Amino acid sequence: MIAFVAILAVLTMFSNTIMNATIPKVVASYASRGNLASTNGATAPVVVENSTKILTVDGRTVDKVNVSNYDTVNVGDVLFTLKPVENTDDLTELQTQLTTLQREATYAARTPATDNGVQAARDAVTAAQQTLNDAQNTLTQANGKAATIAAAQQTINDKNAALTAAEAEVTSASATVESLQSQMDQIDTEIAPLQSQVDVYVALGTPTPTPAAAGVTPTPGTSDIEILCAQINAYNAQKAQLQSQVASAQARVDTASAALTPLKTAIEQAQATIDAANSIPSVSSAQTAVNTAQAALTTAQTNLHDTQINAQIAVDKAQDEVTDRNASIATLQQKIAVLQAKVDLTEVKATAAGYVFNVGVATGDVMTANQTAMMIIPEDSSERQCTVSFSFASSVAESLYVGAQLEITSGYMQTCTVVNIKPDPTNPRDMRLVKCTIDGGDAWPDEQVTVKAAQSNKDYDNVIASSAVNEDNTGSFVYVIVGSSSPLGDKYTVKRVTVTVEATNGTLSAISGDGLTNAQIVVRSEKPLEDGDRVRLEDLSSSSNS
Amino acid sequence: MAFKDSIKEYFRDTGKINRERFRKFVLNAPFFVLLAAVVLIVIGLVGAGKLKAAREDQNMAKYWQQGASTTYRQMSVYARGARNGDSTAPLTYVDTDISLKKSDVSLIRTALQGVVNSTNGQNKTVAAVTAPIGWEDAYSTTVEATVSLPTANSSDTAVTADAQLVGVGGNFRAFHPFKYMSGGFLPETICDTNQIVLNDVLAWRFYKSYDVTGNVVLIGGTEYTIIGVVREGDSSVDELAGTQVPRAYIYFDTLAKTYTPKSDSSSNSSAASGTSTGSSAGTSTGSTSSTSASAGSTAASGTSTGSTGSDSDSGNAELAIQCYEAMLPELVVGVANSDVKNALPNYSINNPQLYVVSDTGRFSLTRVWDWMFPIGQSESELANYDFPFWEKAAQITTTRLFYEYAVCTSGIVLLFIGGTMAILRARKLRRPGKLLAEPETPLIPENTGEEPES
Repeated sequence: MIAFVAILAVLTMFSNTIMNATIPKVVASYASRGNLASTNGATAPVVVENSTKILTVDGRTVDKVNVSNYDTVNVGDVLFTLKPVENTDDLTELQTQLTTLQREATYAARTPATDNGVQAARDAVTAAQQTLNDAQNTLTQANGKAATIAAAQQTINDKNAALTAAEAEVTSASATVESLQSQMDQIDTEIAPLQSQVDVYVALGTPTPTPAAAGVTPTPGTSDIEILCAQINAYNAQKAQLQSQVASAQARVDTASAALTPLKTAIEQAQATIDAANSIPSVSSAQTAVNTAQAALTTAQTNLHDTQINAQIAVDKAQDEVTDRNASIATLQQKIAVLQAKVDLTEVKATAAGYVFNVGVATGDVMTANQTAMMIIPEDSSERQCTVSFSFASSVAESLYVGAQLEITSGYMQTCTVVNIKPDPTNPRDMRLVKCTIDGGDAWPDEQVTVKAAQSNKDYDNVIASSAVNEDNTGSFVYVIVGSSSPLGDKYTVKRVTVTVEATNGTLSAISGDGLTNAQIVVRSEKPLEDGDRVRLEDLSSSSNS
Repeated sequence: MAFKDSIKEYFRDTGKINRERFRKFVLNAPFFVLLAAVVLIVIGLVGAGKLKAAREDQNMAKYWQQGASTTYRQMSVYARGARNGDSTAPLTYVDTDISLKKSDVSLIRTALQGVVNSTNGQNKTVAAVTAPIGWEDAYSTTVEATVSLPTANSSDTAVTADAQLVGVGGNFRAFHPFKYMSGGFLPETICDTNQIVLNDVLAWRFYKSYDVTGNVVLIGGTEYTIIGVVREGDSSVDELAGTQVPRAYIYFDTLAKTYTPKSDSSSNSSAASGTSTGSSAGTSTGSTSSTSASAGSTAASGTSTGSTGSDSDSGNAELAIQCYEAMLPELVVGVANSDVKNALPNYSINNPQLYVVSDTGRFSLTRVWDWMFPIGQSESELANYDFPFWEKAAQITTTRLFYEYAVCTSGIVLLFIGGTMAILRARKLRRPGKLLAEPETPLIPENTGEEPES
């Protein structure tokens, strides 16, 4: 009996009726094509343009936060204190690097300039050029060697003839002089006894005849002395004539003798020219020397060019090293200054007066660089310059213009005025960023503001009651009914289908997604559902008014 | 001396008899004990199951985390405020320590988004949060108001109903699984600020139908378009919690705009007028309007005692957030609890002025035990809070669950006892002819004049 009752109870417990009672009832509907009028709204956070951001200090640990949200602070108030920096290895490392670089710079400045080889190469080029010039001159001389010798030989010949003539003239004139000199000596010989006689007469006191005036033919004497004097005079006249002839002959000798030296010199020079020409190498040798010198010059010039480039590169490298080192020094000094300032920093103070808001640091937090620890906004709400940047579809933004007033939904704000419209950087083709100013509101940073821009009216393929659209961590979805039949009856389960909500007016939603065609979509459920849950179908028409 | 001995003998005999009776009972009663145990356990489990099933709004993390590798935890924060006079006054912001306001939502969102980002290996410090990414939140507040139907002529008598208005923001629907009678719920991105969702009680009272989307109701002279009708719950706990009362849902911002008008806002000034009887430190004009929300004027009345920040500047009491809810990913069990507390502005662990509760797992045995014991502590700690109906229902459910668990525990104890009996009986059965017969030698040794062994 007891066993029978127990079995009956168990069977009753698992009977279809009771089991069905645990299955939630749902109402399903088909999505239909339809028109949906929806409002184009957008939500965005308020930005207080004249708020002051207090930035974090990289790597420092917060010791104590002295303020909290909505606290009022003045300039200079300590917002939060920092724990001392225990590990200054970074700073020490930077200082070591700086010292090393500064030493390198000092040593580099004191190091004398090294021979870069340019001057030697330049001297080599000059020498090679000189060698080339000499070789070219030698070649030129070699080319004119025969002519030079011929000309010199002609000169020798000519000069030798002239020299011979001059020597003959000298000889002839000398002979004449000697002849005349001997005649003069003869005359002197003749005059000497006569003069002795005269001297005797003079010693005897015989008056000497008065010399006839010049140009007057003396009158022949009558006395002996006179005769003697006349004879002497006649001899002297002959001698004078001879002397004149001697002088003329001597002049001829001198003239000829004077001509001899240039002629000899010319002959010697011509001979030297011939000798020199004979010492000039042959044309082929000279040409070879020119070619060699030209090649040497080219090599020297190339070497000079390369040396100059290498030297310039070396100079540039050195300059770059100096520049880099100086830059590194400057960077290190800047880093050290920043790091030192951070190490020395023990408290962060307010740089503006107002309300503290959005406190993002807490005691013990290790801060990272360039983050907002908190912000300070003007205490007087009327002084806050509040803006909001809404992202609207381009088609919606077309109806907006600068100065337009948007209907704002937030409770403490009065007007929302468009100040500029520009493409949304995240989707510049399809979206527009509409920046607005908020007036008359006690707005706080990051507060969500919703505005309405315009109404749109559009046909959609799948319109369903908004209650059908669910949401979880992966997005929007609907449940569609999947039915199966068995001997025990129909069985319905729900299948999760991810959808995109294209538009909604609250009551209805336009959705898109795979598997919505001819699918029964759950629009009402007794309890929340999960994918694969078994459900019972409820008649919507009979239940809606129940 | 003889009397004393006789007394001792009496009790010795009586004890012997009782022990014999108990031995017989133990040996003969296992079935009934086990049956009773099973019945109690079944009653307890079924009762607990029904209670939990009626409170799916506390279990929404399970549905939110579908398909995710990360578990989510549903958290709720309840803040206090001030109602000037009665429940028809809106909950107004009082102090940063005990109240929450709209701007606090951005603070909380920024902090929680940082936590979620760091959980995902991203930068903890975040910029402005347009909407939660990777988690979800909602906030709400309630106020009693008069809702009416528009009349064709001004002389007609308006059909009105005193209803509870719930101002919601964020993804409220993700935390509150309604049964939709028609339409949908208020979209997270506002389509129309003057949209409203009625509960089935209010819709039936007005229209005797649930297919009423597109119709219009009036609150404070402002028209609201009905976009949906929802049923919240109809269990006994729901009735106790006040679920089965006329209720409507509108946007929090709309509610704030209606109930805390600016001094220079003439368009909404009528909403600020009404039945205020308290001292007016705000901007109430004092004019009356029979069709306005009954709580309208009190919103602007002087309830902002000790308020800081903008309240003192504007001279207006700001609408307070009654409940903030968040659905947070949780890599380590319980960390979301501390994350939410850390995200709350000015929350003190040592002196919590806000009630933070983890909805996920709140009906577990340990949590129910913590709720019940020490007896009366929870009630006294939460005495100053003004909870919305869903939290009231959850608390009632917790209390009832305790009794269900107690019943279940009793059944388990009985089951243990019955099992022990069965074992004893089985041992007895191994001795043939000894089952129900009088034992030759009693289990308890006969009295030999010595004290029985304990």
